[in-house]
Amino acid sequence: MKILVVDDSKAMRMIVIRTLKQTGLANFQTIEANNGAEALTVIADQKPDLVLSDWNMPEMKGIELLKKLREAGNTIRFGFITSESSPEVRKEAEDAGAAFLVTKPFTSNSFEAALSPLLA
Amino acid sequence: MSEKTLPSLDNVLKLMQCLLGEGVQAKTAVSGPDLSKPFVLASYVNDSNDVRRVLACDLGLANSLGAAFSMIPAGVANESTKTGNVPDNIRVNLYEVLNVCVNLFSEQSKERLSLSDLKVCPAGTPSPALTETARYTVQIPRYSGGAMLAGSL
Repeated sequence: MKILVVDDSKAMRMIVIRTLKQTGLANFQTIEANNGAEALTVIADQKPDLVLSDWNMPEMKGIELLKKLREAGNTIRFGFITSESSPEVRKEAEDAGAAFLVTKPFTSNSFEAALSPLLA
Repeated sequence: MSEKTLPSLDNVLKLMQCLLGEGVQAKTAVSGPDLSKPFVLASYVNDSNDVRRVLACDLGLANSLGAAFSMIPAGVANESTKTGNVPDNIRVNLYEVLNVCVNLFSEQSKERLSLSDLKVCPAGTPSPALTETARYTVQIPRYSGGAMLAGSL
């Protein structure tokens, strides 16, 4: 499984990947993008199986990335990992086709809870 | 001090441990950061762009948080604190830590809040006028740590 991690913070991408490794998830590789615009290119080129994206990023926000993917007919599995936690943001994510929203800070348990339905 | 709008010690500890590891320790404190010396001020605004909450960290804690987040050596953080600044490579990571810290306030706030600004305030900067405050010390293994103040306006 190929997982794309999208976050404008290099350190946060590193922590997301480290936390993924702490889950029971096996046989995955990670690729990275710095923002939504870069992620669109990476998705087209490398066709990941899952996108884990921040919400607020320069160039293109995570929600814009998701909407562009769905508008283009791309049904890739997509989840948000973000400091946003309001009900409005959760609804917007869900309405746009996100499978889950994990709030920062996160733990390997919160990752497992979000990912396990997708990977069953 | 009020428990109504400001984070509990338990929430501060959990958040810091999630971000920086299980070894982080946090305690409530009487004095908090010395705001007559240089400090870092993070401002959190509502959707109308009104500042509603702040976090103030002394430079020791600010440099420790930013450095520990991406494993920048403690010596770099300590040297920056001695010289009274927060270098760019630490500041970008400190911003991310303090951005996540918005969730310290989210439970208690009816408004959606977001980090709007992070300033390094020189000595002599007037302290923000706060209606409620809570003070903590945060210790991070291998880093100096320091004091933090949460406030509401």
